[in-house]
Amino acid sequence: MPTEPQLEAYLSALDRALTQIPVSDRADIITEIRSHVLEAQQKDPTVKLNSILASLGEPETVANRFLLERGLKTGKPPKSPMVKWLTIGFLGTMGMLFLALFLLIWKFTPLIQVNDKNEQVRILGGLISVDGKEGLVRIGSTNLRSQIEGRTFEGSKAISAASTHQVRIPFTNGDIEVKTSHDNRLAWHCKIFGGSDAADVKEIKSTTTLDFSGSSAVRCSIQIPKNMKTSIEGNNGKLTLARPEFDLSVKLDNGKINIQPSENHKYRYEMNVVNGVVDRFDSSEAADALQMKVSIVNGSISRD
Amino acid sequence: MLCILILMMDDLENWKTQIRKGYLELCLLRLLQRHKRLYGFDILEKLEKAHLPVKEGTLYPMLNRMTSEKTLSAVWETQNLKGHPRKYYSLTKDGSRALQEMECDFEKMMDVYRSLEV
Repeated sequence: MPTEPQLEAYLSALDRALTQIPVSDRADIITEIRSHVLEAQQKDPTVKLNSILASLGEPETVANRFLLERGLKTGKPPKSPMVKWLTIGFLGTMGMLFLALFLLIWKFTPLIQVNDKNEQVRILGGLISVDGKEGLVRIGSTNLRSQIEGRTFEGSKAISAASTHQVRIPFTNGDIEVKTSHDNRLAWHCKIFGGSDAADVKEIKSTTTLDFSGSSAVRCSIQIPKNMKTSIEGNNGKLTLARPEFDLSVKLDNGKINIQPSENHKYRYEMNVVNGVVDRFDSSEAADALQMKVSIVNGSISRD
Repeated sequence: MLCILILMMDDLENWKTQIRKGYLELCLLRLLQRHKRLYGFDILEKLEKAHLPVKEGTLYPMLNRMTSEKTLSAVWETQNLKGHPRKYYSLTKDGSRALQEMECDFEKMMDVYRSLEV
């Protein structure tokens, strides 16, 4: 009696679904269903096995009818092919969506990466990158350097060595490094971004003002003569005070202030932090100690 | 509105299934009384010819139950060496008695039903 694997699979499934029925009865049922299929094929050889089995119904459904007729508990009804395909389709679509989401996250991770030291920010896994030092913004492969390139503002000015003379540096937003010059000249090397006016250098009475308050943003390296009383006031940004050999008064609303004290000098620190953190600084009460008055509202004061 | 219609159709289908089940059993017994012995596929064909199509998945479990209830008896036979076996069903004495009773009840039910028309 030649049989087909598909028929055998069907009968096996039926047999498995009929386990509540004694083995001899089960074998009888299986033989009768097999006989029905073979009879159908014999009566009409053109009819396909698929359609004969489809006409019988899912093996679990047929088994449930046998169980019901015997007053036995039925198994879980099988899912209809439509439900089965809809489930497969739904799960497949969800799988594809999750895969796409995973790839997107993987591709654009980390969302934001800040490298403080190199002044670089990478957004969406490098899709957008900002290089603070170079003044470079890159989106994908497009370079936007020209759009944000600042204006150069540099120069130097001889400053009176009188002890009453002082330097003021007001700014709005920026990254400013202040260090000690080796002569009596105030020197600045800056890039100015945005704003209607360029920076201005004014000398009124005993005060020299390096004014960046009219610029949107500034990045500067400023050298200040020794012992020149200096005050810096800014809204947002980063200030680096590199080995200052002069009295300093610094006010910043939001940002970071990094102090690198000179090994050759002592400082009398006066720190004022409203909302932020400050590193430990050992203040000196020595008469020759330089004054370091620093205040910040939101941010940090760190020491190198 | 659509929900009510669907529920009504659902109820109607349930009613049809219930009434058809008893009716089908009666027809099966009658068919076997007339033809003495028949196998499953044969019964399906004859019922279809009589405009009472039945699904295989319905008929075989019913035959199985009626056999275990001793209303029907069944024997396996093979026509020739190459052929497949067929399970032939025939009425038992109990089956014949059950048929008589069922026919009687069915007639009574039909009489009652018809009497409601007057």
